[in-house]
Amino acid sequence: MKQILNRNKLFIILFICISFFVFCWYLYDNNVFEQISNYLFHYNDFLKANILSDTPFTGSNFFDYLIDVFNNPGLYYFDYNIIFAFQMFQLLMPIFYSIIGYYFYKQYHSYLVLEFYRIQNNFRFLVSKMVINSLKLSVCIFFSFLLFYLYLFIICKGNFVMNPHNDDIPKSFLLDIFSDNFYRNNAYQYYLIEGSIKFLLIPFVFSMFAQSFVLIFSNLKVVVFLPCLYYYGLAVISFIMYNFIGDNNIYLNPSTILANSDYDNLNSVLLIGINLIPLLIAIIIIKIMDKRVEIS
Amino acid sequence: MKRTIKILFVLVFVFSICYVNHCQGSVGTFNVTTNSTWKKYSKSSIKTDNLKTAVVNWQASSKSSHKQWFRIVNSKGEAKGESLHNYLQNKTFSTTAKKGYYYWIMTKREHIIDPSTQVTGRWEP
Repeated sequence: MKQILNRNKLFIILFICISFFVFCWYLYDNNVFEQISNYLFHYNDFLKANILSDTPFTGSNFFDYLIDVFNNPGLYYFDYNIIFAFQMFQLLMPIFYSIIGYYFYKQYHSYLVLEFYRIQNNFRFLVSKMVINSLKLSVCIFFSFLLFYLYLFIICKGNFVMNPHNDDIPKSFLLDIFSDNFYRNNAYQYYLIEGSIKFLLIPFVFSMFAQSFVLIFSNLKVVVFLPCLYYYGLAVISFIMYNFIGDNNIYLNPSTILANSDYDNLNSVLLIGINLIPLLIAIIIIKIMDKRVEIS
Repeated sequence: MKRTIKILFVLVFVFSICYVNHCQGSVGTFNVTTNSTWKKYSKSSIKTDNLKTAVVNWQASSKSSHKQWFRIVNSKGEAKGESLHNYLQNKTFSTTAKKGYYYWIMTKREHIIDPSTQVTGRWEP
């Protein structure tokens, strides 16, 4: 057990950091920190706002105020919070991919080289290592999502900003496959399926992509930098492409799949397909490098 | 008699202007550059009815198809209602705002890596 923990230290730390960050972002997005800092550090402004408020705080101490702040209904909406707690992942994802690139680079240039001497099929061994690393990272991100999903599932008690049965549906991603009725009848399952694509499949694809650079480049900086360059570079290219392909430019942007409720009438197959291209590139790189690894 | 009628006429006119102004006080306009964080429009609006709904109608400078989140907050920054709106959608959504109090409108969109948009529209708490 201890050995397993030691071997996966990086992923356990990542899981803890991601879960903590997601929870903090959820509080930040619901103005919890702002309200607390107003009370603690800008008390005069707080008093002025409190007089004008429709629900003035009448308690006597800070703990009463904390209870008041945590009674904010915004904290207990499932759909809004599951969307926005992970909003920063649109920026953070390439950093995770760089981390896994760095991790594999260190493996490749240390004990993996020694392992090559005693293993007959070096290439298969290398690919299996890449797949295991990618799985570990994607499972670590997905478990953070799952933990927050369960927290909201318990605490929100069926509260939705956009009531699945009466209101407009805030999502269009996957509903061209499953139909609107699927969301209306199974909103919780929908968010679980969507989350497994966003936080399990996509990180796996990009992790494989990031690690494949280790096979080509011997410079660590390039290996770490390239996943970020691909991710942010494509985002910039998608803005430029707006002039040529109009609104379809969103499909080129790798962060669109993470922010899919921002858009209406998405083509889910096309969006997932475009996000699988990095995996295709990784497979091509692996195939090309296959012979070289065997020869070396 | 004529003088009394004149005074009455002036009074009715003044009251009607006051009433129209009072009614218009609840309907606010907003013009804000929006991105992925909540942007609060500086001007507040007073709620003048007992309805448990708010109305927002918005349009954007860029004609892209993105959606926009709107939130109504009180003076303390507590959310009193929020909703996701399609482009040019005149939409009613439920709030817990109370008659006679001032509220502010906030807006944001989900996608971070996308250019910010100038959003304008009308709203009523």
